[in-house]
Amino acid sequence: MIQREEMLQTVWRATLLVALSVCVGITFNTLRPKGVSLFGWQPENAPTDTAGAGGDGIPSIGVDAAALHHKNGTALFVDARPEASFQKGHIQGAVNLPDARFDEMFESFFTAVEPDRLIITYCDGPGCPLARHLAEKLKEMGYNRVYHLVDGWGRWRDSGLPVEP
Amino acid sequence: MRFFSGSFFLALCRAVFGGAFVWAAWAKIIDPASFAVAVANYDLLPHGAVGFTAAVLPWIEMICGVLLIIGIWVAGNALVLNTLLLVFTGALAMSMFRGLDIACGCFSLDVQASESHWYYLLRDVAMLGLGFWIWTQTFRKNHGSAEKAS
Repeated sequence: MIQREEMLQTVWRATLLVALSVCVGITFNTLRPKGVSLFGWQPENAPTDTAGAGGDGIPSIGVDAAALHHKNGTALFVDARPEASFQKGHIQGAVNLPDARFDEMFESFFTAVEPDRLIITYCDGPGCPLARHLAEKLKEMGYNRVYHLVDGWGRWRDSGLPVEP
Repeated sequence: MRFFSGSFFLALCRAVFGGAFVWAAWAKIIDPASFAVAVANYDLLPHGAVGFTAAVLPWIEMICGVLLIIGIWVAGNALVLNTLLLVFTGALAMSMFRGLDIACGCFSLDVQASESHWYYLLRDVAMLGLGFWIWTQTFRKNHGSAEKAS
């Protein structure tokens, strides 16, 4: 039978091991350049890709974080591609605001979407500039929480995330 | 029968059990941001606790896994890892029960939910069995050697 003393020693050692690991984890996270925010983690500031972020002030968001927002319904996905591409297939629940038709369509967008809404723009292909352009324009118009999803449609679809039609 | 109670077999089991945790910890330590998303997907922790968990949890797995393989404080390490496994299994079962379609985030951090949760759950239960066996064997061994010494 397991002795009480032995059991207590095991629990004590287990506690020490956890404490040691916590210390190592916090230290490592603090020292590393890409550590996570220990107590202020938010989905929107979590995994952002550096690719394509450039110096334009529009941060890009990773597919993982975008998927989390999609699941929780905390972001509006805006498709910057032309209407024909949008009709063929888009991220489920996304609205279409083609970069080329921004001026004529912005008015209705502005009345429907509150300025503090989290917006994720996307287009297709790693080099596609439409999503970033659109994000810049939206930011100029007063939307402060705008991100763009690099190579959005392709990566989203290939990851098997929800699409329509 | 002697093989199964021998220390070589126990060491082998420790290597498999501890190794699984070390392997799982490695991916999470490399990419804590993705692991944070996997943790958040379970929807069990407040966002304020997600970052801390993502930073610390892999190190518990890593340190206890390595020490278990080497054979230092085996009972203590096995207790920690079994407790973790129990929590993971509980979280997985709860997400299944709630119908969440999320990725396990156990060994790979791919956010896309792929394999069935039943598979993960079965794997966790099998691992728990192994971990519990290691734990009890270690006690039995210690106790046996204490009896011999006295």
